[in-house]
Amino acid sequence: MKKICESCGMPMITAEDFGAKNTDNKYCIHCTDELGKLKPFEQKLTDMTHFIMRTSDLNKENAEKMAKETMSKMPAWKAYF
Amino acid sequence: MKNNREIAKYQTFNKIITSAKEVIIKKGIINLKTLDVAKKANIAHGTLFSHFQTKDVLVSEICQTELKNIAVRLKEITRNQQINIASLLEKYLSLVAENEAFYIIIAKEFPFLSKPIQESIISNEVIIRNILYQKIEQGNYNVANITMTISFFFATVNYYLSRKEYFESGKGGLMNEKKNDIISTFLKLLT
Repeated sequence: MKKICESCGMPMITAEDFGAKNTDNKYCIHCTDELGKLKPFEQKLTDMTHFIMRTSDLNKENAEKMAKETMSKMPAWKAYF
Repeated sequence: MKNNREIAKYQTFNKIITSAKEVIIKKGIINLKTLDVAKKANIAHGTLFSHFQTKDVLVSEICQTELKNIAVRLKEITRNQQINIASLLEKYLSLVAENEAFYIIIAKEFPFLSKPIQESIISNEVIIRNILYQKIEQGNYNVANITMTISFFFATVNYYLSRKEYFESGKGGLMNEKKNDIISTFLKLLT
């Protein structure tokens, strides 16, 4: 069941880690809505920026840069970079 | 199902990664030459560039693979709800110890690395930091600033790694020598 979220890179180990708790979902619980559908790009970029600020103490500008760096390497967001 | 060509490509990719890591451990990232990596991997220099356009792309890929591997293994052990923060930190430091020579290079050279490599390291560290963050948050510790407390932990680890030759006393690896003291001191910050 071990997978990496194709949107943010988070390891998904248990069903609770997967979008809508569906282990066939390519995306994690944080990157999807309650139905397991991938969130829009802008929303995900904002979420990830805030998440990085919260856990890594980076300022907004750098956190957004890191978020973009991460997302640019993810299959889910290839079309945006 | 992969065809023979795809399998060969995958094998070459892995050979480059393994060889590059060996060269990095010997010479560092700053002094890494793609020609040395190609020689070590026994491939043409041009073949390396068909897999990795630049040295930065190659090094970023290696850092990403290393740090993601740690993140996955930490996440796996958090499946056990009973696992405490001390055990999680012990696992993290054991994983660093397994590849200590590589993490020493990262600790020593980080300020001098190119922006793309630095960004690759930081963006992957975020995932590891988040796993620790969640565990501390669930633990109901009386800590005012979890983020900065985690930074103290990583700063301490990097401090020792970057000065390994001054702190290591035996041959069992610096992190193996220091991990218990680092963890017990860190736990005192959480009370």
